[in-house]
Amino acid sequence: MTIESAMTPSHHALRFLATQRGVEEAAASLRRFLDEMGLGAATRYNVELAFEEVAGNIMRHGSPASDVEFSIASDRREIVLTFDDDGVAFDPREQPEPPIPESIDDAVVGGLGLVLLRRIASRIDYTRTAHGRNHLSLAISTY
Amino acid sequence: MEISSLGEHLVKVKIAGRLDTQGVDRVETRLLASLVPGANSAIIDLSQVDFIASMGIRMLVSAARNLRSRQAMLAVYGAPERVNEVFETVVLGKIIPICSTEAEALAAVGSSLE
Repeated sequence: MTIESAMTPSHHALRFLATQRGVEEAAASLRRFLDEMGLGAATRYNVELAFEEVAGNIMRHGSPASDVEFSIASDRREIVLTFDDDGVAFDPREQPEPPIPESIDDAVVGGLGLVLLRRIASRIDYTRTAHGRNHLSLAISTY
Repeated sequence: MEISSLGEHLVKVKIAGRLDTQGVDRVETRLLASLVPGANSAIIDLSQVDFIASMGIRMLVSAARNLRSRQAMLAVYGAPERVNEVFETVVLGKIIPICSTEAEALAAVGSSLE
């Protein structure tokens, strides 16, 4: 406990436009930060995947979202990602998952991002603030 | 992305890099154009794809469904471990054959080429 609380947690914050270019630049900035964190390969993949799915979702479906505030913080047990945006209300915990297809004939092409997000996040918290913003927090366990 | 003909109505596609939103934008139009109009079955080498997200899976499923209606199909092979884990999470194997080797992928699309 004292050892852990004495450790300086890594933290990185970004603000980016909810456009393709904005998301790409933010993803590149995140990857540079992750390079310095020295995470295990599986954890790093999950962090990048969570960012891609949430930021992409805000960009595609959050209209008229203007900008997104993003942060990443880590301690020895987990990585916590937060996304704050002014787009349409979207609580990922309340969306139904698409059915698992039995064959190509009933394959669905939507909703896969949500399936991935739920598998890789150990915790998902969501609040729609009084100021009309989405606040999403995801925890990803480190291995 | 490299696309090469392996015979009549059969192509090999090698994709390199990330299949995130940006990566899909880079390859999807050309991939679909090389497969769908000619009803070409495809084996897709993913050994150089180190990251895939839902948009990449969506592209593969969309291509497979388009081919299905033209009596053609695709199989993927050689994907790195993390990419295969994502495939398992979304149970992609029910929709598209996920193979280890090129020979397996060829067999999966019904080719006798070895």
